[in-house]
Formats: sequence, structure tokens, C-alpha cells
Amino acid sequence: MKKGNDIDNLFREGLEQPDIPFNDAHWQAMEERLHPKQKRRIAPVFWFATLSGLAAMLLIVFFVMKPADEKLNSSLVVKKKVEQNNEYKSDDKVQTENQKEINIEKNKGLLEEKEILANADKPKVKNAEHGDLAKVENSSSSILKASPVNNNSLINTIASSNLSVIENSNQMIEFNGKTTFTADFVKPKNKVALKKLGNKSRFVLSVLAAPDLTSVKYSGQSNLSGSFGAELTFSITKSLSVTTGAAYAKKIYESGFGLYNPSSSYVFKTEPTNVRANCDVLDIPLNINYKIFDGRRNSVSVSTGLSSYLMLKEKYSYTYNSAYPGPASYEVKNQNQHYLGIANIGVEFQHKINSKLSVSARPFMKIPLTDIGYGNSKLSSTGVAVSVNMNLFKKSN
Amino acid sequence: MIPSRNGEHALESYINSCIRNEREGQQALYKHFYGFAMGICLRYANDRLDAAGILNDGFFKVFKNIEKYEKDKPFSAWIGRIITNTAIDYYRVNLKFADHADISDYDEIAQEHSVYAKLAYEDLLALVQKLTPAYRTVFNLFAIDGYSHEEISEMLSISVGTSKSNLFKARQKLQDMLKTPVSTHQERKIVAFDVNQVRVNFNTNTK
Repeated sequence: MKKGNDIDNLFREGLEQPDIPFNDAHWQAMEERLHPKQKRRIAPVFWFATLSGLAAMLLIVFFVMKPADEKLNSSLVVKKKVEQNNEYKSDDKVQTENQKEINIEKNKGLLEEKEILANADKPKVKNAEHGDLAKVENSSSSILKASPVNNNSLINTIASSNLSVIENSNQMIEFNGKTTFTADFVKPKNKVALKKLGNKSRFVLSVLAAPDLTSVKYSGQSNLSGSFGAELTFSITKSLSVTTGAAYAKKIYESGFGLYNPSSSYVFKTEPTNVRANCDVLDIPLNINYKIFDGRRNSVSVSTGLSSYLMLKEKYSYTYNSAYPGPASYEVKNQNQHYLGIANIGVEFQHKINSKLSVSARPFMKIPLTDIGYGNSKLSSTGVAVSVNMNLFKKSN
Repeated sequence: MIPSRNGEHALESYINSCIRNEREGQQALYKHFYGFAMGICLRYANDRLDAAGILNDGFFKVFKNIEKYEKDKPFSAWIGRIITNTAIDYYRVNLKFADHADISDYDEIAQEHSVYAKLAYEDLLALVQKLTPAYRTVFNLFAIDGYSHEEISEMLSISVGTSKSNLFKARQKLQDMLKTPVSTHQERKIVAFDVNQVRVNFNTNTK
């Protein structure tokens, strides 16, 4: 170097060996960039959970719906039972007439019961059904009867063939009795349930996923978050309904340090410039919906209500603009609960797929009434909830 | 500024680990050279936020190209060069080597030589960061990183004359800024340097 470059020396000596403390936040940013897979690996787990939750929900729903479907199969069940009875009869061919008379008497009793029930319910349909069933049974039982008869000794054959006419007629009544018994055994159950609910389903189960933009009021920054969960809607009147449920939400938001007001006495030596929060929240809504348009397939309703936030996990990461950074992050678990601290408003557009299923999209806003989380932020979310809705206990025909 | 002197073997194991793309090695290397690299970034950057951005951009290049490092050469020089180039790239858009000297911004005159003694890293850094990217880059490359004007002209795709002119103007500005009172910093480290030498020979015209 030439002489006279003292200013160079001054700066070189002054700047060459700075003692800069390590900032872990910088490494974390670097790590994320170097190993982005780590983040992506978490995402599929999240979606796996969502999907499996959905699948479980569907399973439950179909199990709940099953009794209604069973009714359709009842005639099939009856036929099977008739066949079993036939086999039973042909094996014990040498049954005494006395036993049969007892059976007949029993069946008569059952028949009477059946008739009472039938009258109480839908006599026309029932009678028609039983008539058909009786015919089928007759033919089948006589065929089944024929073969074992041939296999037996003469005396027995004579005896049984003498009896067979009577037997056949008896069995006809007997099977009638049995079939009506089994059929009624299944039917009244449904009838009772249906009577309670009327012909319309009053409960709707929804499985929903809701991406949203979450932001702290006045921060001007919003981040993509999301939630998934299940909701149960109960119809009070034709157009008024109440919804509640639970949704697991991930709230990610960012704000300046000024909007972060933890109620702790901790004082930052160096004030962070920015705070980024990543919270796991259980959102329990209680909403009232009013149907403003109800078409044949599509309907529109407005909903409003309150949500409770149970903060499961909150993690705050701090960004510094200084050579002397403070702590990189802070985490709290299950510390904050905000009961009915958030107002919900939304408009739901519903499209019916069939009598049981519908899909809907609901743009919504969640407006904070209280300060939320450890950071006491005015946290609001705007998004669209997409859901699949299933009518529960709905009559299938 | 060679932090690896005593841990030559450790450094080699870090590098090998980085070649295998292992997180542990990468973190160790990052930690090891953090101060060194950040020192460079801060000098070339407008502010700390930019510096942190440059730092990670540079380190990203280091990790992605670590297998290209030739082991017989000093690693710190290699990493320093990458960080420096990243810093230059960062402001390439802003590197307008037009003659836009605006000395009037800094023409307050104060003859408080004693204040030099208090000049610390933070203060010097603040002064360097006050320079325009064009002046700052040339000053950094020449005065602190020890590149020649020929090398600088190549690195920045400018003429040797422009490099010299920018260096001159950078020094002039720094000198002007040194004359103005330095705002007292809360946490400052005193840098040991010869106050008298600075005071006596304040000659910016080196060539």
C-alpha cells in the first residue's frame, strides 16, 4: 500500500475482525433453505391426518346411515330365514303334528301382532309385501319337501306324505308368521326414528377444510393458514339452523413488534423488529344460520355466531435488526383459552348432490373480540371453508 | 481472520460432512464462519437486514458448491471470495458508477479529533454503510479486501479509471463523515488504532 491511505488502514483495522455474535435465527433460515424437505415432510403428515380424519368421519356417517339401508334388504333377510326354516323342517320331518299346532298357534299370535302393527303403520304396502312373500315361500318349501320324502322308508314315506299336505298348508301360515315377524322386527325401529324426525332430516354433519388468510389488525401483513374439522348443524325451522363443531386450525401470522403485547414482565434487551407466530388452535364455533334462498338444488344462507379458541400451542419467532439479537423464539402450550372471544360471519353456498349429500363453500371472516394468544394480538382470519355435508337419519326412499 | 488455524482438522471434517449434505456439518461450518462472513456482508450491505440476506445467499452458494473447493487452498479465502461476490451481485443493480457525488450532504465541519479514539466497529460500519453501493463496493474491495484496481475493474466490469475515481470519492466522503461528530452508540467496542497517525496523515490522495 502507498503511504497516505490511512483512512484505508483505519477502516481495515476497524472492520477486519469484527466480533459478531452468532444469530441462530439466521442459521434456521439457512437450514430451511438447505433442507426444505423437512418442511414438506410435515405438510403431508398434516394432510394425511386431515384425510384420515375425513375418512373416519365418512365411515361413522355410513354406519349411522346403515339402519336405513337395512330396511331395503329386509326382504332378502326374510327369504334367507325362510330357507333356514325349510331346512330345519325337512331335517326333522318326523315332527309331530302337535308341535306344529303349537307352532301355528304361536304364529297366529304373531300374525295378530303383526296385523296390529301393520294397521298402525302402512297397511297397504305391508299386505302386498306379505302376499308376495307368502307365495315365494310356498313354492320353495314344497320343493324342498319333495326330496327328503323320497329318501325315507316306505312307512315313513306314507306317513309323511299323508302329513305333507297338512304340513305344507301349516308351513304356509307358519312362514307367513315368521316372515312378518322378522320384517316387523326391523321395520318398527325405523318407523319410530322417522316419526320423531318427521320426513326431513334435521341433523347435518359437515366435514370441512378451510384455508384462510390470517393477520393481526393494523399490521397490514397476512399469512396463509388453514383449518379442518367437523360441524353438526341442527335445523330448528325450515330456514333457521344452529351449527357447532370443532376445527383444528393452524394460525400463522406476522406483525411488527409494536403489535405484540405479551402480558409478561419479560423485557427484550434488543427489541425485535418482527414477530412471527405459529399457533395450533382448536376452534369451537357456535353459529346461527338463516337460509335466505332455497332452490331445488342450491341454497344460500348467512351465518353468524361466536367461536372459542383453545390455543394448543403458540410459537413466536423474533426477527432482529441488530447485531445483538435477543431470543430467537418463545413457545407456550395450552395457556390461553378465549371462550366465545371471536365473532364469525359468513355466507354459505350449498349445492345438493343427492338427498343425503351436499357440498358447500362458505366465505367467512373471524373477527376478534378479545386479544388472542400470548402476544395479545387482534387476530382476524378471512377465508373460504369448503365442506361436504351429510344428512343424518334421513329416510332413504 | 482465519478462524480455522487451531481447528484445521475439525474444519476438514466439517467440509467433508457438508459434501455429504449433512445438517450437522453445515451448521458447524456456518457457525464457524458466521462472524467472518457476516463481517464482510455488513461492510458491503446497506443495512443489517440486507447483510443477513447476503450472508445466507452466500452460504447457500458455499454449501451447494462445497465439493468444488480445492483443499490445498485456504478455506476462509474461498468462502470470503464467495461472500464478497454475492455481496457485489446483491447490489449489482444499484452499482451505477456514474459521477453522482453529493458531498453537500456531509459537508458539516467539526474538528473534534478526539472523537476518532472512540470510533468503534459499529461507527466505522455505519459510515461505510452510508456510502452509495458503488463507492462502498470499490472501497471495500480495495481498502479492506486488498484487491487491486485491475482486479476490481474485472470484478465489477468497470474501467480501472472508474475504480480509482470511486475509491478516491469514497475516501473523501468517509473523511468528511469522520469530521462530523459521531452519534454516541449504546454498546460500542473501542477499536485499537493509532490516533496520531490518523490525525496527522489524513491524506486521501494515495495515487
